Amino acid sequence: MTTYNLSANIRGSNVSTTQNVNTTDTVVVTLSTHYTPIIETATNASVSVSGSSSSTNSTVTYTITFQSAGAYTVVLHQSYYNKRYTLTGTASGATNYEYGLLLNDASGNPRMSPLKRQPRIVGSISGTGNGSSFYQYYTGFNSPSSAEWAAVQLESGSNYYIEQGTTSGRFTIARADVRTSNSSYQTLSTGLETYKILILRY
Amino acid sequence: MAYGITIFNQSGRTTIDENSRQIQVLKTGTIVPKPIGRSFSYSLNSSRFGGSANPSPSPIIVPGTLTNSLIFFHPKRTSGTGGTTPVFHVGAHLGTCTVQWTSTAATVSGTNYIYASYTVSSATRDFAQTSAGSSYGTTTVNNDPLADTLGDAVGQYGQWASGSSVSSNYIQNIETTGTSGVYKLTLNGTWNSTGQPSGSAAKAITKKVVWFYTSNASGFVANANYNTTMQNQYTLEYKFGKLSNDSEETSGYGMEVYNSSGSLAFSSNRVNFQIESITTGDTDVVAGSQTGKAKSGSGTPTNVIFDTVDFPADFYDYYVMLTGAGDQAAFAGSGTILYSGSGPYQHVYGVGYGFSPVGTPDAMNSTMGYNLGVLAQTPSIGSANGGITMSSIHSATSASGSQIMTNVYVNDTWALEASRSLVIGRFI
Repeated sequence: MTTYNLSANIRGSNVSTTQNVNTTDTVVVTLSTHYTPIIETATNASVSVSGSSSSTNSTVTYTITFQSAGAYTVVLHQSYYNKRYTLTGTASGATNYEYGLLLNDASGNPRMSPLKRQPRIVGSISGTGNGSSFYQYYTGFNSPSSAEWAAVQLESGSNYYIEQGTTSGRFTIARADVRTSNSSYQTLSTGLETYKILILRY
Repeated sequence: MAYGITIFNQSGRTTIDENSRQIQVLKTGTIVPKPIGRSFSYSLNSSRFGGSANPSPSPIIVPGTLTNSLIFFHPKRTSGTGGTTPVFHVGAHLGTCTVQWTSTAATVSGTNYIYASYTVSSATRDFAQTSAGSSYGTTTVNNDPLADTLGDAVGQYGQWASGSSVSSNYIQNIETTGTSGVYKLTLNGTWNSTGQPSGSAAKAITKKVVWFYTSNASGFVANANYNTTMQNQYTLEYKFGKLSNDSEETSGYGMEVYNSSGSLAFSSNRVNFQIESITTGDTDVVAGSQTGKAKSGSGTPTNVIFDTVDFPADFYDYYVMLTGAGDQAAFAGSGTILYSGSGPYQHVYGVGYGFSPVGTPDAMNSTMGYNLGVLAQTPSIGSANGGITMSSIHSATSASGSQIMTNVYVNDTWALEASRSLVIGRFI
């Protein structure tokens, strides 16, 4: 759980650094640079940026964490003078799953990870509206939290959209503001009264 | 819980349980989106789109039924290195076509297969503003005989159900044969002594199609050496899938979860669309009173929904799920909009998506609602982030499109409802 604090100046030259770490460690790199360098490469590492700048002679901080044992590479590129900061090293220790269930397919590709939000597509609803907004009831929706649920309208050309709200067990299928003008220049068709909604929980 | 399994992720939210349904990916491919020409003449850079004098998009068949199919897409660099990073803009129109199988040999009693050839009709759009013009691209359909009709019914009470052990025959598998244009279809029923003669037509299948289109100035390029600045070929990679709880995998390993009805809720043998974010907003364009402008300012919808991805270094792994398509907004007014002719005219916009990789912080505005400079409400995402946007007035007409002239304003917009959810994720 060590935090390594590194710094470098890439305003006028390239810089390369090696730092060996454990998968539980964190590396914080403070760069003297121009603008905000992009993350050009991040192999076996996750990089987040703070202090983004839109000016020259800037200072930007990157926080790097590691996923599994093995070599890692991070390359940060400032395009103003085309200079790079390259951080390489070897990560040791256990893969950073921490807990949960990891499922791989026969080729070793992950199919479920506790580090991911696995959306559950729990249902779909389709129908024809009656020309105005109405409640659509769905058992368990917005429960225990609306943050775990989503309803997505998929019908192309439909006049209806979703207002999720926070009330348990229902959402609103709202009717859009369909055109009202009668200008002779307009020949817009009215939309469809049908809808197709995908229900997700994540 | 008396059945199934519940798994929680690190946030304490359920990842699967007995009620889950997975997306079964049935078709993957790449295509270079092309411009949709409206009712005005505009000089396209044809070399960008492979040299065709009049590049236009072609529809692609989406497997699955009309109601359970889902569409995912993202830009993909298919060749070249270096060069500047472009921004990618793409919109979609949906429609339908008809597919029909016709047997090329009589069936054999006791078997569950049939040899057949495949025909595809031209495609028609589901919904489009007729005033937007007729030059929407070809209706000749890109199709894949091995994938497009998997799982579809080919016989019910007659047609290919006659002479079968089942009243409704479905396609379970499709294989090539040694004869060009002839395929071996495995069905769920078994033929009896009557079966089907050669030349019998199966039940016609109505399929969803999608046109992917782009603007002349977008990042998609058919030629890797289009110019010295853009040295790469960028295509649109798509995945078409359907909601499925059918268990057809026979791998004999992995983990499967079933619901109380015996239907598949989860299988580790399938790729999963990991939704990272669902962003909602109001993309409505409000009629304005100023020349060439929509209404803006406090209380006006920002028109563009956007989000940045959690892992910008992996930006090209991210997909968008298509949640909005077709024509969704229009200019009209008392003045004129310049096109090849003159006089009052209507300019129609379609909902569209913009992909802004790392290093393109401000380009999200470049063609979003091209003529609506007043709607500069799309925030910069910063040069270190990768972002994806969705707009109801995503200009996907030819390049700079028509010009808004004096006294023209956004007079009215039409249903923008389906474009209010931006769903971003990755397949794992």
